[in-house]
Amino acid sequence: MEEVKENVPEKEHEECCCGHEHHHDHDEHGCCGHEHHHDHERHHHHRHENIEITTHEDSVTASVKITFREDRDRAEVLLRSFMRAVAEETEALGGTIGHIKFFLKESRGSMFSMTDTEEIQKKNATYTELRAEGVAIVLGLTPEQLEEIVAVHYPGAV
Amino acid sequence: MKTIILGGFLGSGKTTVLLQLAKYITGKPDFPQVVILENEIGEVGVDNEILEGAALAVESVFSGCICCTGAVDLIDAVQTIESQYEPDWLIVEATGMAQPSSIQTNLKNILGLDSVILAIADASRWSKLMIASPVFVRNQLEGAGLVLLTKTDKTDADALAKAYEEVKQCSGGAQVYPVCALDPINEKIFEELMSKAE
Repeated sequence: MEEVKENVPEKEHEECCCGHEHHHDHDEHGCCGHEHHHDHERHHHHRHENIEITTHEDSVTASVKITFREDRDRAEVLLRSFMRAVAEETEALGGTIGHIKFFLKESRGSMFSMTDTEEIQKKNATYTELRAEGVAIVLGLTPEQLEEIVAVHYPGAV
Repeated sequence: MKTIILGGFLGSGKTTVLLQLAKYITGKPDFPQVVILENEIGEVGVDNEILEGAALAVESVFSGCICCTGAVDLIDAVQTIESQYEPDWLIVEATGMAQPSSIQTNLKNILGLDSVILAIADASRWSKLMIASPVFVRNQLEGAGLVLLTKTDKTDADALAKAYEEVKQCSGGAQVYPVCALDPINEKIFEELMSKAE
């Protein structure tokens, strides 16, 4: 996992779009013995808890979680529309699409309960939940630009 | 444990190739055990869902690139895989932003583990990516044992010929095979790759 340190005093800070300062800038010796310089940051976003922005080298990644309570066909339409909008706007802003990919999972919950040693009751949830998790990885945009794009087009399904 | 590092740019078709490669290896007469080490750059996994759905043994490292910032995670994961599974084959799928040669160097220097790099280059986006990030894309082919030039079905003949020549120049003498990974990949290519990992 990427190590995240905040407010490293001797380094230059950058103000995140959320108003807090977060910066992680370090030199390190890689396992190969060569010296590598990495500059990677995790932006903490309080505006949308289901969107996390990270950077790596020249790329910016939005990790996104979406819960749908529509039927599967409708959820697919919404997901495709969201992905296309992120792609189109990335290019419109002069960025390069690296990879936008999502995995859509379907689940229907059941509750099991008992109040004595005999009977176990089962109740099925009245809806099927569809959960999409994925990433939009782009080059040539700032973290703020990508976050804005993803937040604006995020399907307001829940 | 014979090791293959699968590298290539974002969206070039690494996972699609990996599914075929893993099934080819596990389908051999002696039923060798294959474990996949999956690395994803984001906070959530997508490729691991596809691979686990194909009944493959998968260990995942999220949220850090194992060629650089997540190098320690790479070493930890490989050691865990080796001790827990003792597999015949390990396939490391790098992120699309990784330099596979750095992973190879780390495995060799830290664990003394030899490996071969299978590099994937996307023919359909080759020209575009060579404008957007030429040094990075070129470096991803460094040290390749074999290169698959994918998405031939989405690339016109002239662009494919140009991409082939340029990829060949960047690949340090490795064989370059144009393929559409949605179709069955010629088994001789996998045999050639496996022989390089022996």
